[in-house]
Amino acid sequence: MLLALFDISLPANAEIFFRQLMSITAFEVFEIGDVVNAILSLEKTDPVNENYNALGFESVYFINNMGTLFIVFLIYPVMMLVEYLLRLVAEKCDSVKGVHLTVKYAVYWNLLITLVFESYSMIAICCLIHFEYISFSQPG
Amino acid sequence: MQSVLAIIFFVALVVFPIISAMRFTDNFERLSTKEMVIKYYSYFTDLDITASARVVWFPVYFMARRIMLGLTIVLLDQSVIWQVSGKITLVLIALNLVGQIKPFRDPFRNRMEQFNETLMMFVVYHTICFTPWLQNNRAYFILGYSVVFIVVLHLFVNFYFIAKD
Repeated sequence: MLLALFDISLPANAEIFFRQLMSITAFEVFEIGDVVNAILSLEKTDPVNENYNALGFESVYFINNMGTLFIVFLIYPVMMLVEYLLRLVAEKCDSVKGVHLTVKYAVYWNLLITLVFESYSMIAICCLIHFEYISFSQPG
Repeated sequence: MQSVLAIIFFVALVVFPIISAMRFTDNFERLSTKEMVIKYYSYFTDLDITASARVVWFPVYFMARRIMLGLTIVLLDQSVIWQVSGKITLVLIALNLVGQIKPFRDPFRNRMEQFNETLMMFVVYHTICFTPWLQNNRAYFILGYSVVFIVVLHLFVNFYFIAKD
């Protein structure tokens, strides 16, 4: 799908198809761009070009392009907290030890590895788009 | 803040495959033990970790090619010929790796990987036709359907075998 970001002009039929497909594979459940801009006091930016816009990279900012995927990473500390609480309970109650170990291996290893594998392309592209317009002049 | 986060995420993306490859190469003899399997089965899903230590490098290439594709797309955004050449090179390396290392336990999975890469190559060939080189509007539109068909076929075949398993 990322081939649609090449310096080419996609036919309208393929462009519509890739746009729909990208919204599924990028876990784009809802649009967070406006919320992020409001919280971080950022100006709305144009996409790099029309191909990027078609695939959902509607900004040059990292978090805006990551979209819902970024929220998944934000949830991660909550899961670490759940694991910590389970560890405290497991120290007192033996029957919870199995559940704690399953959660521990999921949170620190398997879930993290799966998340990185599945979102690798997306994160790489979002970082690289941001690097082209990188700036440290604004707090946001 | 966005710039700092982007740098942190990018460094993590680069460091993750290097650290994991070093760790798994050092502990290759122990990869089949229960403790390692429970911890890292997501990393080695379907991979034949009993065959050769070279298998450890297959996920590294999986990740490295994504960074290289990203670099090709973003840094060479005015030069489609280099973008297409870069993508073809990455697909050819992947085809060779799968053919030489045979990283998956199941021979069928190795063939599926080669099938996927071959279809990817077909899609890349289509992108050449979406440059100003092709002047025929009708052909341009038909090739749009053709690329959609190949991607749908790709998805359908993969979903079919996932559902079958």
